[in-house]
Amino acid sequence: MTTDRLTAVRAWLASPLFSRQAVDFALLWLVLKGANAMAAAQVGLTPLGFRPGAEAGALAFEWFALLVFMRRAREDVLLANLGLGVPVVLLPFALLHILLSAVVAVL
Amino acid sequence: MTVPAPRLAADSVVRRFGARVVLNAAYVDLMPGLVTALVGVSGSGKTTLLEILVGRLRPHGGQVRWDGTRVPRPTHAALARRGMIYAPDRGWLSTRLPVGRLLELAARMRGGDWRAGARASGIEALLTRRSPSLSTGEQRLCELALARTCRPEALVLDEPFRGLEPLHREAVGRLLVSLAREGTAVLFADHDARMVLQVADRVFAIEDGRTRPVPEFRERPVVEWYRGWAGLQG
Repeated sequence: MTTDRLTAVRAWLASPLFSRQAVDFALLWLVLKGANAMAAAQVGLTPLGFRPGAEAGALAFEWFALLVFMRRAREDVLLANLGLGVPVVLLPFALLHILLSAVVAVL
Repeated sequence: MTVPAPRLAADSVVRRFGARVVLNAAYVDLMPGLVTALVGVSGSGKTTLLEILVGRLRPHGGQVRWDGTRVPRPTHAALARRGMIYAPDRGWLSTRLPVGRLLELAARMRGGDWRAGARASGIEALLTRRSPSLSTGEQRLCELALARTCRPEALVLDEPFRGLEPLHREAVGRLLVSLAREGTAVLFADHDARMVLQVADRVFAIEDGRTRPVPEFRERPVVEWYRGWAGLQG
């Protein structure tokens, strides 16, 4: 990653724009985690356990929904104009998903 | 004397949607310091060509060049990092933050002076407002302030004059010319023949999937010229 791109990513992560996107994402994560927990409980698994397959499926859905939200808020073109492509934009949310799921699993 | 390479160009572009060939060896470019217009009737492929030029749509053939060199994987973000800004007709101001916050963010990410951008566009009074509360014309002016904050080398706009009242149309036209005179390469696609005449230094017309330069666009009366490129009779 070039210095320019790193600067842009840092500025975005520190911005109120990212905060609002992160809140949207956390709500999506909560909904998906609830659905996964109910499904796990029905088949006798630990409801809030960290299962890589289920987490990957949930993350894919969360990414898709987040991109739809961003497009509706016209942030897809804005972020691209500021030099951030879709993979760079999605990466922090993957880390956020893993962090939230891991914390809940440990608790 | 050598002719400078265009800042940004889409060359020999082919694009199909199903069996329909929308673009067939189409070409368009942007020259630093000049305003270029792309004109054509609805459905002629203007937006498709712009989206390929700015890396938002993949062509089935052809290439995108920056300063004369082929861009290997021309995505929107990759071209933006070289200095391109794309303003689609649906707008690109986030609906969730006030305009001033967006300008500050752009300045931090791209190193421009957001206050100068706001001043040049005359939008100081709009900085605390979010885009849904702005008129279409005010949104366009804010977008141009945002673009200016990013210090663009190339600015591509899709129908920037659509739905604007006359005062905002004039203001947007003046800003495009002023950006070009500062060295930015500007390209816009639009139906508004009068604004094209008023603002553009050069014109490409698109018809049957092909583009052609229209060097005589100032020498013919507006209506005649409009009918000429629109393929209308009488």
